[in-house]
Amino acid sequence: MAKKVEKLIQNLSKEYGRGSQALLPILQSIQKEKGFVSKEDAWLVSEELGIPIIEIYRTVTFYDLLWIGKKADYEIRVCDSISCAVNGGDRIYQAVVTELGLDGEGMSKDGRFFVERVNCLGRCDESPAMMVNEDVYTGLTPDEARKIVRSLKEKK
Amino acid sequence: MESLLLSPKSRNYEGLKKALSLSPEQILEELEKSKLRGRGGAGFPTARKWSFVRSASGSPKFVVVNADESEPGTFKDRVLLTKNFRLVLEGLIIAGYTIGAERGFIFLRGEFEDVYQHIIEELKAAYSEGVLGKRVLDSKFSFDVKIYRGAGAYMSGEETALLESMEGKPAWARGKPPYPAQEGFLGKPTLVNNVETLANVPLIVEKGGEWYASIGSPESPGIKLFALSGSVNRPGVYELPMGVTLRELIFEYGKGVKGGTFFCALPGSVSSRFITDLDVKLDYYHLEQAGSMLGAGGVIVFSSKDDIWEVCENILRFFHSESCGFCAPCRVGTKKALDMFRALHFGNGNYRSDLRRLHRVMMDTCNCGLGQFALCAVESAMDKFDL
Repeated sequence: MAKKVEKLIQNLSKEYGRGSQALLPILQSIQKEKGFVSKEDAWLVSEELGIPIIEIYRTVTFYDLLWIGKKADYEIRVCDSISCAVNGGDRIYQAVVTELGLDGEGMSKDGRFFVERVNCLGRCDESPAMMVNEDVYTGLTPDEARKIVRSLKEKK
Repeated sequence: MESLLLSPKSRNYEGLKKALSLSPEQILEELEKSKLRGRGGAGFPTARKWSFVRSASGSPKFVVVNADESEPGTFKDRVLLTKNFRLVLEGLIIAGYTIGAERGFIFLRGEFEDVYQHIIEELKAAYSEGVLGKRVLDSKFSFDVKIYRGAGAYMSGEETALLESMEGKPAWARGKPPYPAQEGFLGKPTLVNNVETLANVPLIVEKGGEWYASIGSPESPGIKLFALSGSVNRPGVYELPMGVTLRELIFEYGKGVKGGTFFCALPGSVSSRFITDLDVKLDYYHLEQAGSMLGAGGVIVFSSKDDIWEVCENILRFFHSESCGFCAPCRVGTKKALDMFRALHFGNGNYRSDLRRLHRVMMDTCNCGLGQFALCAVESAMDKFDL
């Protein structure tokens, strides 16, 4: 895995330039590859790009779509913004949370799901919307949302 | 109106071909005549922005397409990039040619995975057709494009914060001046334009600035993509002349208000002030006259059944959670505003004048537009709806 990450850093610094301007593309690729950025990866990026480790952490922790360490297999983001809200967004969120046996945002007991209410996903014309990892679901009913979660629960 | 921005059919890079036969000065002249203003929200005259970067010393220069639309109720760029990416690309290359840049970047919202895949394919095709790379369409001009993806921050849409993101840093808006035209990406002169702004450029170059300026309102002409959402029967992106009335947009195109009668709308999404007059013309000039603003053209409609208290609280929650934390007036102000508004809502104190004062303070002292405009909707709700 370390080899793979090294290779990825080298390719992207060739493409974007060996400096901080390659940082987001590199972190995003690592995250896409493994589902998160590990501390080891952060150190590797720091060394390869010559950026202090603290600045790597600063960037990872600032952005919502990057994180250090494994979070969950399925990151469910339910839109909380106004166009979804007036079209039943709250019912979608409640359906997802209830289906996972949660009281609100957070990690499911088995650690496979992480639910968050997020700001606008840019799908206001097909509201209400939610995302599971990189997949977008729009025009949802609570029943459909429950079905999506159920089918993910059944996946190994 | 015939669809020019959203309909890709029968275009074969006419604008770009013509642009490459003109001098940059001639292109700027047409742009000036067109009266095109930035479609990302600020409405800055495009010709002026371009000439700042063109005349700036320093090289290389860069062009960045701001495709980070993240404000609630704004989704026109997503639709435009999906339906007609080539028009945007054409505009991007013309921009590079005009200001003297050989490299362009598209900064795309991180959540748009489908759009990302689409753009990658389109860029590949453009390279193989000789539209990108060395000697664009057999001219002497070369141009390359790379994609950056946002990582989930509303702030990245502010043009200097966007440049910070590209440089791998948190999306904190820079102090201005220097403007990106002088010191942008990696300290070099950089033009940052919204997706829709660039899509208008090939049409202007092809058909002339005067043609473009004759469309829509004389005071504030042009074509606009309106992103209609909220309590309407048929939400979506509608390509219309500037100055179309709110009534036409909602009832003719949006097929009416959903689940009740019309109550109010936010014409420039959540940073703008509520309007209740259905006959207001939707363009920069008339919306300003009406005490609101066009912004990026995200029109959110509310019906008599929508609870305006909840709408306002939702908006305050948005700004509070997207505040980047860089400056105290916004970091603390958005939280205070939310707390005071909730207290007011539940009868735990009369914070109306405090909210108004806080809005003034944030307007005067916040580092960027996020904090400056965070309380606009709420203040206008207190003015209009007796909250």
